[in-house]
Amino acid sequence: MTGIGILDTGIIVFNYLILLFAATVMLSYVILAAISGFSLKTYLRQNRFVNYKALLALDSAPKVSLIAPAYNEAKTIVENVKSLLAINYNNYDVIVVNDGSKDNSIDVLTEAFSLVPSDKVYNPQIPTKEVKAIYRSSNKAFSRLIVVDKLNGGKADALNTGMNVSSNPYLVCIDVDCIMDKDVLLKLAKPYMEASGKRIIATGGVVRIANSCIIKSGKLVEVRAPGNLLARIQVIEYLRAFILGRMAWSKLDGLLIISGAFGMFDKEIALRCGGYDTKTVGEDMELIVRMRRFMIEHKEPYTVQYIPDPLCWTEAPESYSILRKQRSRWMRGTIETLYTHRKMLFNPKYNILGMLSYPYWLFFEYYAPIIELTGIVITLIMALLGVISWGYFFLFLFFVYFFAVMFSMIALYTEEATFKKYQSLADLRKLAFVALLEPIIFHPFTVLAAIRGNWEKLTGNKGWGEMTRKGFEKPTG
Amino acid sequence: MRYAAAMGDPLSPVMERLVLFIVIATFLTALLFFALTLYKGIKHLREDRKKAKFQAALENVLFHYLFEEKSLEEVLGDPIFRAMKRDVLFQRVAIKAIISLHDNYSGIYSKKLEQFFEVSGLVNYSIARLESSKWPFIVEGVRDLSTLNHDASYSRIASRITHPHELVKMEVLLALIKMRGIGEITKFQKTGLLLNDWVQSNILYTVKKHKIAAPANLGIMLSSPNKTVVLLGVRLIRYYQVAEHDETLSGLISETADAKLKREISEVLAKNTLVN
Repeated sequence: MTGIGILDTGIIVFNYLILLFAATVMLSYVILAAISGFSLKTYLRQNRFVNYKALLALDSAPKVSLIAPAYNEAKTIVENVKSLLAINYNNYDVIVVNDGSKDNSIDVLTEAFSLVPSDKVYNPQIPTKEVKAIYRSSNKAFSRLIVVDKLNGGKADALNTGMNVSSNPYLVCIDVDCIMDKDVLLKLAKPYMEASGKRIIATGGVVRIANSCIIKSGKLVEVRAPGNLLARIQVIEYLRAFILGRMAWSKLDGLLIISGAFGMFDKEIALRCGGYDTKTVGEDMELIVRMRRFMIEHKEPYTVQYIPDPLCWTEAPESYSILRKQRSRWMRGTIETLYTHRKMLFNPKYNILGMLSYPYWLFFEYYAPIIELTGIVITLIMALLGVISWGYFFLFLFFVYFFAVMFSMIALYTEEATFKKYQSLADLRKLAFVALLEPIIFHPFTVLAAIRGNWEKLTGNKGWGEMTRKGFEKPTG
Repeated sequence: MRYAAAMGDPLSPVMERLVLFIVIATFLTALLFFALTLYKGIKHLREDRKKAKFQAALENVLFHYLFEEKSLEEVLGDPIFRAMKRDVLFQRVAIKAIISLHDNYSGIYSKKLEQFFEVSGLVNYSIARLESSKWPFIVEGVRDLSTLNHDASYSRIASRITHPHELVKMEVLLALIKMRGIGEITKFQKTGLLLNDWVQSNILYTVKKHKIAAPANLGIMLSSPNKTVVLLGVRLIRYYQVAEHDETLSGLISETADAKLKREISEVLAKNTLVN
């Protein structure tokens, strides 16, 4: 050490605090993984014999509106909408909200689906940007389709518009460019039919990475590990988050997020809460937190359900620049949601949400990147001062590295032991290989992107950042 | 954890060994899960290959039996079939294949499939499942036996009515409806089975798929003190398009405070008015 008493004490206290933080993070991961494993096993056993088609026999099955906001999607929108119209379910309609696209999305839709102006009157229960027109198809084959053309107001505003247009009691908000499992609505609706006592205010499911998968006519035909390294690493990341994380939070009834790519909501509650917040870029997380707060504050028994089946497939960023934009936006969304609902922190009134979920997000999602960066900086300073015990340094470095790899391997094993989406051994090997690289090349990048998100929040950046996608046509080959 | 670099030297010997132990343990755990993943992957691939082989053999046997007028004895005497039959996976694949064909064919073909299921001895696999102590196996056994109309198992299936697991109860209910008709529902009055919308959709699906005839006493359901039974009665009346209960339904609509029940009754009445 330095030989300066106070400095040495400071260094030791700092080290132990950081050690405590790291140990808590890791322990929480292990506990969540254990809960997830147990819950997943129970879920699969319970659902092994479920005949989802039975839901089609009930005329009064939950009536659902699929809301798909679209912005400059002219190239792929027809195929995507056709895919949504082919979903296995009786009581649903598809509301495509053209959010002031600068391309010819409306013309393309009009031609493909024989759109004509609808006599439906727009009733803005939630204030939105101006709606220019509402269209319906003159072709009976597309009678489920409603297209709304509005001025640009962002994703949240488009979703609120869809919510206003919908006449069904349930909403499924999706990204129009995602590939949905054909049984997605059957699986999302089932919990609403089994509900007794507690009102189900939302159901969400697993989002998986579709890069390099084979997709034909809007349907996922074969799952493959992405050819692109960055996308492949994100497969591992998503497996960890959805299989080992959210499943456990759902079991604990502490789920704070339902992915923006798709989730089903009770419209009445969503409307009573005021719909999506247009001022945040994390509108998906914010709405769920607000709905849950609303139910608790109104003392209405409720629950949020999670479906662990892979139901939605999305395209992951394949370039670092797009990934950085996505991750910094996610961090801004997290900050905004946590700040808006700061009242919940360690507030026993909010039960597990206030005492566990919120602190978890605050310390392990929001603070963790900042603490990691601080650690790196202090380590460098200590190295310069010559006060690092290199033996320990490398031991701990190896520990953290192997822990991250171990966690990814557990996620991969859980996937193979449950859903078995990756059919070839080559794909499993590829995914295991990127699990070795992830802590070295991917994790530091996401930490920096999160720090940048903090910086953007401080400097008042409110944009989404352009999210260029390749589309699913190329990889289908 | 780079920040844990200058960990307090006073704890050195103990700390060093502890951290080293944890590093080795995490490394070995990672390795173990990687090995397990590959093992599972290989196992799945082998199983898939085996299933495909069984499937091909079965298709051949069933095709000869169903469409080429080969006798049951002839196809069952096939040495390949006899060798495969001992494999549990084969039995599972075979029952699945028979059920799949049974779903797609009716009349003489479905009867032949039911006969094949029984005479080939595959029925013993399903009965063993039904007699198991594990609830998922019981569900599987109940479903297979009832789908393939194994009437001799009726009382065995019905004896599972008091099983504590809800999914077993629901499967038994569906099985009894398939085998004896919708009137079987009265047997569940004291089982505590909750007829929520999900269970009701399964009942309706079974009724529609197996073309279960309308019972004579459908009206009894409307007088049940259990609102879910009444709701099911209304839904069945709607499906069977029976108009004789319109008066009872009109009475119910004014008595009940249940909005869902009111809505469903008014839909039935409106539909019946249109039909008449």
